[in-house]
Amino acid sequence: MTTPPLVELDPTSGLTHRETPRAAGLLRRFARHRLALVGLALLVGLVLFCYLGPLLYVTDQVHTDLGAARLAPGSAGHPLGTDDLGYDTLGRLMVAGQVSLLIGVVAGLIATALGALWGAVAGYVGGWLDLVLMRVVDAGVAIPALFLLLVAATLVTPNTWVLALVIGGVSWLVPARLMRAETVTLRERDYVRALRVVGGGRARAVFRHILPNAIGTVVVAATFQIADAILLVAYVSFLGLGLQPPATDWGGMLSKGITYTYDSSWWLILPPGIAIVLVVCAFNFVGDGLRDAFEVRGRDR
Amino acid sequence: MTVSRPRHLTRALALLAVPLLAGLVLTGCAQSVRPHGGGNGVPVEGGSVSFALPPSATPNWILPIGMSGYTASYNSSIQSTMYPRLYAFGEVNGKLTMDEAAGAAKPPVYAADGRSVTITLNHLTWSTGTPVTSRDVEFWLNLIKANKKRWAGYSAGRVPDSITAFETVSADTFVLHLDKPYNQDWFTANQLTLITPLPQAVWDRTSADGPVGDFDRTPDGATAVFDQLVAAAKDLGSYGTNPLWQVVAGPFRLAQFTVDGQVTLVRNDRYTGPDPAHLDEVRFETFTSAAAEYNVLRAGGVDYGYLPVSNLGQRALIEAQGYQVTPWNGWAITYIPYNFNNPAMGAVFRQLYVRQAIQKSVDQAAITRVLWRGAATVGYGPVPQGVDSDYLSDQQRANPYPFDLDGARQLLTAHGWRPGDDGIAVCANAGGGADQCGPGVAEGTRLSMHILAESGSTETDGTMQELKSSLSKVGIELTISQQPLNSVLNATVPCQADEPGCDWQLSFFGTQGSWYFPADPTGDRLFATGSSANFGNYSDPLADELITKSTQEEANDAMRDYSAHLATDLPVIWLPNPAYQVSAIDSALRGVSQNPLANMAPQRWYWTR
Repeated sequence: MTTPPLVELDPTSGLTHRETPRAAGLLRRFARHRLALVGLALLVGLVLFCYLGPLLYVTDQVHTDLGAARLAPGSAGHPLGTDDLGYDTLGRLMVAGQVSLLIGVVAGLIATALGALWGAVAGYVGGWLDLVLMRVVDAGVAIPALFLLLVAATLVTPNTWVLALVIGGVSWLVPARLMRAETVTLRERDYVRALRVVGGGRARAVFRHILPNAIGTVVVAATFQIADAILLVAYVSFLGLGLQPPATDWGGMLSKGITYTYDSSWWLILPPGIAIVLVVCAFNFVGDGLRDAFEVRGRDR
Repeated sequence: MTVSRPRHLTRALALLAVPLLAGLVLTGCAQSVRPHGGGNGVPVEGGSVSFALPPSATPNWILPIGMSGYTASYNSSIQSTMYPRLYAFGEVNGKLTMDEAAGAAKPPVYAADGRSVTITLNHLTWSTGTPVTSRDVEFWLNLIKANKKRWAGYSAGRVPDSITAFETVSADTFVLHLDKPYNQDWFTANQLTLITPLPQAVWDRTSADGPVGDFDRTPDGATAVFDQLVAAAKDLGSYGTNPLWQVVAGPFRLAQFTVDGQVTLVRNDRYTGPDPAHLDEVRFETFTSAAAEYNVLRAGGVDYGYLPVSNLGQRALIEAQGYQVTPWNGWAITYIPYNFNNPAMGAVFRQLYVRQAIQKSVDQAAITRVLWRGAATVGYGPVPQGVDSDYLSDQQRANPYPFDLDGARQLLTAHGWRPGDDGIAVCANAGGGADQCGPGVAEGTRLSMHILAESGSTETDGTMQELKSSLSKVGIELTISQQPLNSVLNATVPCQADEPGCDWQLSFFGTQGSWYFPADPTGDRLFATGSSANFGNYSDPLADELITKSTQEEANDAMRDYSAHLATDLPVIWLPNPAYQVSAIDSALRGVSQNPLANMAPQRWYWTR
């Protein structure tokens, strides 16, 4: 079978076989979104803080030091103080951030990839397969992700990759619905119909035409999935079912810090709390910017 | 595109808002403080006291015969205010001694040959007006003999097996004939304290509305009576109304007992013994968590509560509210058992030098000071150290294995262990020689072990991380998994190497202390070969000999030898023993003695305000 030539079917319709905006236009529109730029700057800052920081500010985040436990910020060598086991809070914030970001990104990507493929297949094939696949999604959505996570966390000892896999595994349902809706509209586009007319296979349609044309939805969904995943990790750790010490993440740090609320140990609570808010906001701002950049209809096309 | 975002932001903000809001709410609560403290030191009769029960503790058993699943210390504390035991022990001038006023009998008199003991009862009266007699003790003994397997206090060979005959001398005097002579201090403190006179003239019936008789004198009858009492005790909702529980001989009687554990005791005006109550009423309050209790304490909602260790920094604030903050030290020890039968690590654990290296890696002073914030006492052996006693040996008191990481490393190096690429020691010289790893330890064995620890406690989490950290500096890898207390206890069982449940290596279940002793801290249940709570299958002929001596012979020498031997032979990893709780007691409430056996005597509490 030969691939039909990719031609513009109706120049006046504004619809092409690939609606992906050109990179330059995309960047221009993204750059016009100020919050998105702030989000991007925040993300870059946080990544540098977490990954470059420990190279410049070296601390021992493996061995406890009870002799230096719960020092207030500003104590010698500890600008942000220490926690109840003597770990330096600033250094721990960096190491914990690596874990939170890694789990968030990996889980977000897994959820988006799985969800996009599931939704695209359901939407494109339609019929009974669509019915079955989407009922599976409905059933999954009915069970709270946090509940599934807590069950999983009690069955296996969580480490970074297990948490990323499990969170990714319970978060793909919403992207699947989103992608299915997008696919149902794309499927009726002329170029997809043309492909069907000339006998193009389903796999080719999904992978070469549906998914690339829904890339905007996928990318935006991914940013929100990452933000969601970081929050879910924080929830699980906050409930005490996160990583095994001495590993930690921002949610775990926050959970531990809360114990000392009455002691006014704010340096154990605010830094990880603010970090979580910042990273989630940053991903959301970037997601907003990307959505606006991809969403071109009725704008400056 | 239909992606929405507000909920993500909301959730992120919510996560940060939870602690902030909690702080605001708690601050708000703290504004409405009920007055505490003051008082002029002069006793005032009457009044009521609210007492905070431990977190998640709900009293659920009124029958003064412990049954499996109903043995919590607060149950027996409440029971003994209504049904005094034959003997009670408490702390006097820092030492555990018999508390004669709290018991139902005068001190026991042993025969010269040690084969019988004569006991005379105090002049107590049941609330029906009839005196407490020898028959009431016989009633208890008959019930227990016929139903000993159902009684939580039963241990083969001990009471009631060791009592061969009950002889009534008079209405208030009886003789117990024993199967052999025992260490009399031990028998009084650990065996006679189990006996509680019960109101035979009311309870000796086989159905709720049947006639009273001498049914307990036949085994079948005793079983029927026991069944009837247990059935009534399982009906929590009827405690307040069932006339059975209104017949008491202690300084208090029951006024209210709800199914969710709220218990109210009121003064028993018909009490005729030497230890009457001063208060009109004592209310036992339940809490789902230590944090919940602390919030109420901050609001002044309890007269006798406790501070979670993580809130010990608030001590000055609580004291300024009119409370006296003082730790309640338990007659307990805390430890991590080694599973000597574990297929992978049992042979390693059997090497004394390995146990010594591990013990030298435990910085008990720092754990006590920093993690427990002083609310624990160091413990270097099998005898509790928080309360002074004649049982404690000088060796145990002096700590035979002080914290010394270099010393620990040298012990391993001297026995053929070399650091591997990952820093974990590997046996490089197998064999039984003095400079070799020891019998049964194969070459290439990594010094890596796993601990199953109790979850839910900041202090325990910290202790485990501290152990992991200091052991790693010596070349020992410790991996930790945490589960709820009941799961840890279920997994920590004595086992043989080829049994499926023998995969646990180390286990920790001592957030509130691993083991609470009766008055005499003998090791017959803990460290004797094959005993029921010897979880790690520790077996040492000398330890067995010393334990046997300590239960059968007079003098405390055997106990001190036992204390010294186990402090050096390390059947377990000794750890600091946490206080039962750090109490916050209204400073106008006096007469409070915090019994290390975790019992209390609210009849002696009185207000000075």
